[in-house]
Amino acid sequence: MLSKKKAQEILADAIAASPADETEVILSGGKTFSTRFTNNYISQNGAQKEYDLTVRVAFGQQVGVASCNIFDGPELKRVVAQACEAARHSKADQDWTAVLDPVEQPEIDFAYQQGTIDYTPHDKAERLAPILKRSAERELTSAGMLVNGDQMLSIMNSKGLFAYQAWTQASFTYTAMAQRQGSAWSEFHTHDVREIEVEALAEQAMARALQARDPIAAEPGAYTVVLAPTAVLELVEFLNYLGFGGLAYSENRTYTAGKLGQQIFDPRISLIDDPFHPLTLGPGFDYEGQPKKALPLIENGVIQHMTYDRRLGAKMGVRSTGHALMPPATMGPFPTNVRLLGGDQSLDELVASTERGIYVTRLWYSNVVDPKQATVTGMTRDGTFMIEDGQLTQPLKNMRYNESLLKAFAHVEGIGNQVCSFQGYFGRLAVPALKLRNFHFTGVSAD
Amino acid sequence: MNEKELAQLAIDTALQMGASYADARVIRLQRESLEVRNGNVNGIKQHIEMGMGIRVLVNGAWGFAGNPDLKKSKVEIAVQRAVALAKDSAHLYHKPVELARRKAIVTSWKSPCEQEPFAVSLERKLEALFEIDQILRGVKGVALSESGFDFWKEWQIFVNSEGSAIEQEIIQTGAGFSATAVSDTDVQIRSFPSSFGGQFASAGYELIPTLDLTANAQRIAEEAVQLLSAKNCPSGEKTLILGGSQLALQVHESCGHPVEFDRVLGHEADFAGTSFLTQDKLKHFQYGSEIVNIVADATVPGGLGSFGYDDEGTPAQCSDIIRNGKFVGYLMGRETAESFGMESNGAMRAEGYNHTPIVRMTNINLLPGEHELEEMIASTKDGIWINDNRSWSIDDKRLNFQFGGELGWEIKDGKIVGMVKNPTYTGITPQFWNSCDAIANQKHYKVWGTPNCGKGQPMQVARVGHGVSYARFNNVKVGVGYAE
Repeated sequence: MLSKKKAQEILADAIAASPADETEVILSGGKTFSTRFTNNYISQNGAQKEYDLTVRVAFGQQVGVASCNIFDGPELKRVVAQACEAARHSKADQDWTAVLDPVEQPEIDFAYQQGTIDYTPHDKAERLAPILKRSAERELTSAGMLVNGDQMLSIMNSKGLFAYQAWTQASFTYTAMAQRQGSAWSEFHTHDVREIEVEALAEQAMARALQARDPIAAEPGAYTVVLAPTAVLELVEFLNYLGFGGLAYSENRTYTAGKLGQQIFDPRISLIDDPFHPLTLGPGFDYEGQPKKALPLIENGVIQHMTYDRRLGAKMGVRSTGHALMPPATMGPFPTNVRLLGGDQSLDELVASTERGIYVTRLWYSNVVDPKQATVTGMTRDGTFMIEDGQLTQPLKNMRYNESLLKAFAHVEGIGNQVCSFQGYFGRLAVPALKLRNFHFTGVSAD
Repeated sequence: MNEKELAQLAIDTALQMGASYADARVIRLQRESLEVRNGNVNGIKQHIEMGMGIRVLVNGAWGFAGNPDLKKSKVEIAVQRAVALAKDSAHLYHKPVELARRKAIVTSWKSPCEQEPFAVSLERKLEALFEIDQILRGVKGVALSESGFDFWKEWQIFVNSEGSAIEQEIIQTGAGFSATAVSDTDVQIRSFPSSFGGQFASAGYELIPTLDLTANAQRIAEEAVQLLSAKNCPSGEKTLILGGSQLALQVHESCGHPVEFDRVLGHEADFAGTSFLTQDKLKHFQYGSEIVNIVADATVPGGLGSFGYDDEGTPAQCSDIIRNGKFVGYLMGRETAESFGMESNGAMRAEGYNHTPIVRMTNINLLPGEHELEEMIASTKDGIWINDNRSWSIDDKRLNFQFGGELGWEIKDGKIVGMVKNPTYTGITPQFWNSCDAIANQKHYKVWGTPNCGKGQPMQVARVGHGVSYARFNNVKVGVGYAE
């Protein structure tokens, strides 16, 4: 891992090499060790190391960005020169805002767990061996990946701002497949690899895969659904994506546009962006070096706050909320550490209280049908069941859903009390299980 | 040491450490992206990266290490890491990996490029984008105008322990624009030449003038505004005509992915999914109607999925996937082909130096048929015609899909009667392709670039291509995205 001292030296060299009026330099990257298994054996075992240096310079309002993954001596000077060249030949960015003054930066001291990065491929193979053996003995097929690694983000600008954060990350994703179309899934994401209970997670999925054999087709229609956290994940990704990007909001393209302060969801729905929470851990500053704070996005069903970076904030007359993305950040500011707050029922209680409904382990390949209505479609995957009289009964073939999130999060029947952490497309997410009424399935898979 | 010597050092070191096979790829990538948005430069970014990916077979198991540092000592450390990883994998293998045979090749290859895009000035590129932007913003009702160019230049030396040494340089260019119209209840977008960034090809800057971007900007912007007041796509079973990038994406999702042999073998079961095209279906399964012919062709000049050699050193080739509607071939690499007693058809590709090669699409092309587009429309009684994609979703075996387009044209009694918004359709892959009753001829055929195909763990993004003209499908469920 590039230490704080080393990062500071590299960034200072880049700043010193820049003749621009203003310069921001970002160093990010780390190492990833991924052990991938399939058909009950390790099929891919990889180590990746990657650091990127990104330089953004401004001559007046002419802005250029360049990046590279090599930054020794002449290469560092070359990338700075390249950013300057881009800026000099560009046109003025009318929304350019001066870089941030130095400010005290938060550091999260528990984010880097040495045990995670010291965890060797040999350790991982030893953890996986018993589950792969057991899987084969039960005539199941296991596939998945056990990953550990570290990441860092450090920023310096020509006004003297400096920020640094390093953190570790580890994850286990696991698919158990049984004959006769049985399939099940479990996953766990953390910054501390010791928290991953590989065997317990695999055992749970193996048992569920056997239970999921011989699925039948259910009639499409509106059902009460109990969504495991691994299914809620997809819905919350789109709730966030379609609602809380500040640029899209300012252009009236989000479902939240014009609805700040309005209650549009069930009063039990609260969504918060919080990089300091262990389940949604991330750097406590954004890519402009703006310190972050926990930001409520939805509170008791009411839309509370939008996200801003310095560029958009200046244009809209508000302060940055610390949500700038990596330059040139063409999609504008965005929340990257969101958590849907938990409720008071266990997953078992959500199922037990359901007379007739459908249990969904995962939603898969979801995509936007209508951005303004927040309508999303996708498929179920890895274990879909009928719920009858409070019990999981008949396994079901995978089903296609089409649902407006405006309706789904207004139709809340219950919220799980266990909030699980995930790696999403745009950062970390943490969500509980949900029970929703009147959830629309519109088709069934053929296999 | 130069890059080739470093790659050879990695191979020699791996063999000395007990590897039975090793390959190394040293890559230099240069990338530039430019975006103009609502009359303003939204971003100019240039990126350069270098590094080496080393893949080794030790005791019959794979190990891989990617490293950006090309110092001799660091290369040796990376090889040690790859070998150690392979050894850790080996005791959990059922049987050693075997690779289909290949002759050693020593050669070089370059993609066609008339005008090196990185030699064209930024001023000229921005001027072209601002010209488009001005036209888009000149149309009343356009809330958001976006236009952009993307350029890649990737140089690679591939060396393996069987004596191959292959140098390749591939230059790729992409360009496109979109106009967005917004009301309090609706957002409508129109793009050109295709959704999600435009058209992409293995070509230099010479691609851009051929796309007629400025000539189409006014029409596209007007269509975006018109969509706000257009009627919704009707619901029901109708005839569907697909063209352009929508048909390309239909081929990509419902044919390209299910024929990836690693999916069939379960290698992607934990992420991208498996495939309904199981081994028992090869040469027996009627995937589509008899007029459906699909090839995997990495040799198409200009295709975004074209190359000289794949990332295992197998020469680019054209192989049948669907012949007269019957499923006849998979996409394979040396390991997956050997497990099926076949030879690789050159489909192993990796994103950059930092990923191990996996089975990938090349250019998956639906070969042209005999029809004129006008004749296909004229013989449609009740249909919808969609060209540009807005939304896509498909299950993990690639059977149940739902797609949405930016704009639909409603056809009644052989005539286009009006524009519809939010067109969507759904189907089951083999039923859908078996309902195909007409494919437009060579005159309408074009290879579209798909620059964002995600697969693998850790995920890799590949740039692939799809040749299509227009195709017509019967009894398709349309207007399906708005459940009540």
